[in-house]
Order: sequence, then structure tokens, then C-alpha cells
Amino acid sequence: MAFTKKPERHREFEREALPHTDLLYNYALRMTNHPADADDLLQETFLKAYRFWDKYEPGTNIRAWLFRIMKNSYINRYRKETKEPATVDYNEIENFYATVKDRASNSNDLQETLYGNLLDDDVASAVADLPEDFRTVVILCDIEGLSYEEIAEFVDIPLGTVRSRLHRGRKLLRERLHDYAKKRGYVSRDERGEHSG
Amino acid sequence: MNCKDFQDRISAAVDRCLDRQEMKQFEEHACCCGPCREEYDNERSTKDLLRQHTRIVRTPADLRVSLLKRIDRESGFPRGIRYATAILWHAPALRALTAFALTALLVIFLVDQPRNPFIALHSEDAGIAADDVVRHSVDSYHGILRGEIVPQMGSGNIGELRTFFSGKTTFPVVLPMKECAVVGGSVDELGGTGMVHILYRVGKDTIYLCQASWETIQEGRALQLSAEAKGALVTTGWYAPRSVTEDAVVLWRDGGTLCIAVSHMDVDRLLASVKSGTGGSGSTP
Repeated sequence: MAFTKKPERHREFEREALPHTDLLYNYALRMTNHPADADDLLQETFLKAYRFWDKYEPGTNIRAWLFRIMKNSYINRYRKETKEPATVDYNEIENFYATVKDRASNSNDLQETLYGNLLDDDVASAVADLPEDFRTVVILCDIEGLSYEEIAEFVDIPLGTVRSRLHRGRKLLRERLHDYAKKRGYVSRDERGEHSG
Repeated sequence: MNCKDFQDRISAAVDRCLDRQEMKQFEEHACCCGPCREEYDNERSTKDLLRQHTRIVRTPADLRVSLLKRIDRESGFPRGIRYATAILWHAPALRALTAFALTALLVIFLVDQPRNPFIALHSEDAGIAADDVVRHSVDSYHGILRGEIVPQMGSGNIGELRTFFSGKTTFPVVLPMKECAVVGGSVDELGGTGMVHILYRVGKDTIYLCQASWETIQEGRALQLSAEAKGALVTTGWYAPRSVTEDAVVLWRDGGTLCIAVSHMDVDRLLASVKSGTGGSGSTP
């Protein structure tokens, strides 16, 4: 009846996997930027994890295992229709000087105009707009505070790739935040110079 | 260090992953190279912005409950009674009406079951080895959230609760203060150890309060305390263990009563809540 013993597998799962709901919920929330979707994603992930519980090797990193299930669920459900290249060229040396010259003039207005003026929502939207590969590492590192080693294990990429994706992801984020600031009417020093009498 | 090497190391420098030698070379290059230095400053400020404008959230309680329910369903764990009792815990209007009906049902189960159902509720392992008080309380808390553990007394009225407990325990029952909304209470026993269970709400939070006689717990029959817990409770009267799950547990002594509070929140918050929110003896034995 109501008082029958729960299956061992069930208790094991509750003990090992459920403590990590917060980590996964935050990732789901940041990836989807939509609480209802995050709820669905979390439930789907844990359900799958429970169904495939025998596939989990005891003693190995359970967070990484759970995370990969969630990442795959996310990809299957929410990856945008727009084509993203399967692999991205992270070697930026050819673009280096061009990139740096471009941003050098605008770099200070980030501190001056965006600090204190950006809303949490702006930042959340900017993160959600990042391409998935960059979004994942930025969320895990800057929001959830995981180490490079952990990120490398979760996402199954080399440490060097973690570094370069973070670098590129943060740069893209900065560009998006700059756009948000411009949209809100905070002009950069250059533009202010143009308009002045 | 040249510009390319610098660029490759910017994020590692921001996250303080470079070893001392590398960091020294990195900073030297930053000193002399304007564009590189700006890249580095920009990335640092982006990371700061992210941390300022985002925060780690806790999984909402109702999501956690539906997660548990879905897994229960998946494992074929019995449904019917569980959902009915889950409704009971959360629907004030039904409580008074069905409390009596439930008690009647439970009496029937009592007759049918070879052993006391309240003991079965606690732990399938009861009688084999003494269970740790903290773990037992957390298990009970989850059992309540899933609707497996049923209130004998579903009332929001503290006076009624006090009357209900009167004469049923060998120790004084500690009751939540008036500002709390009581959901329900139960009295039972586990291997000769009398226990009181109270579920109450403070604002949006639900707190499960379990109580037993301090002396009986010391005997360590069906429930026992870790040496660390005992030590802390004897010297300071309080004990808040480090939790592995996201539930906070706080233990304290109130006269001859050992109180254990469990809730899904930070341990500091729970500590503050029980310190200010629970009164002295509400009913005499």
C-alpha cells in the first residue's frame, strides 16, 4: 500500500542525483532564459537520468553525467533553426589587430555607461543570445563558478578550448551588451563627439 | 610574451588560472602593450558585470516536489493515497473535513497491518539498527513533501494543536509562534521513542519540526545522535550540521525536548527562523 518499501534504485538516485538540482536548474534557466522552459528541461533531464541510471558509473563525476544529459536534451529541444557552423575557428591571430583596433575606441564606455545602468534582464538576454557553445562555458564559468577542469569534463572539450571559448564568448557578450546600452540611449564617447555643436 | 600568447591567456588570467611565472610575463606584456591591456581590462569588466547582474537561484520548491513525484511515478511507486494526502497537506479547506476520515482509514490500516503503520512510515530499517536523527528527520521531511507521511491532526489553529498533543507525550511539546501558519501535526513512536511532528509555514517557507525527549534520544534506542551533534547540543544547546543536500537542518534543546527543524533553505536562515519563531513548552505531559 502506501507504506511499501521504495525500490533501492529510487533511493540511490535520490541520494546521489537530486542534490544537484540547483546547479542544473541554473544552467537550464540561463540557457533558455525562460522559467517554464527551464522547469521542463530540468524535469526531462532528471527523468532521463533516472531511466538511464544503470548507465551511470558509480564513483565517476555525477554532475558531469547529469549535465551532459541536460545539454543533450537542450540541444534536441531548443537549438535554434538558424544554421550554426558545426565547428568554429577559434584561431584569432589573423583577426587580432583588426579586432583590437575596432574595439579600442569603444572600450572605455563599457565602464562609464554600462556599469550601474544595465539591468539584470539585459544581461540575461545578452547571455541567452550567445551561440550555444559560448553560452555554455560562460554560464558554467562566470555564473556557476565551475573550474576550467570541471567545464572541460562537463562539456567534453580540451582545456585550451575552454579558454578560447570563454575568451570569445565574453567578447561577444561585451559586444551585445554594448548594443543594449546603445539601444537604451547611452551613447559612446565617439558618438557624443560627433553630435556636439 | 608576444601578443598572440597574451591573447591566448587572457581568459585564464581573468580567472586566475595562470601559474606565477606565466602571470608575471602576462602582466609585463600588459604593461607595455596598450591594445592587449585594453582587451584584458575589457574581459575582466565583462566578467564582473556578469557576476553583478546574475545570481544563483534555488530550484523552486514546487518544481522539486513535481520532480520527486515524476520519479516516483516512473518507478511505479504507489500513487493513490500519496496524491490524496499531498492534497491534504496543501488544501486548508479539505483538511478539517478529511482529517477524521483519514484517521478512520488509518485505524483500518492499523487493524490490517501486522505492525504499527506509523513505525513503518518512519523507516523500513527500524528495529535493525538505530537511525541517525538528522538523516531520519530529512527522510521524514521528504516523505511529507511527497505525501507519504500523513498528519493526524490537520489544523491551522495552534490552540487545537496544543490540545491535540496534550497528554500524548512524555516531554513538553514546543510549538511554533502565532505568526506561523500551522499545516498539521502528528504523534507517534519509533521503537519506543515517542515523537512529535509538526509542519508549519512561515511566509513562503515550509518548516518541518520533529521533537522527541532529549533523554530518550540519549539512550540511542531507535534513533541516535552523532558524537559531534551530542557534543554541540550539550555545550551550546544548538547544532546545525553541514548539509550535502539543499535542505537545512537545525537541532536544539528546549528544556527536556530535543527539536529538529528541516526546511529547504539556507541553514543560517533556518536557524534565525527557529530561534525567533518557536516558543517554549506548549503543552505539559
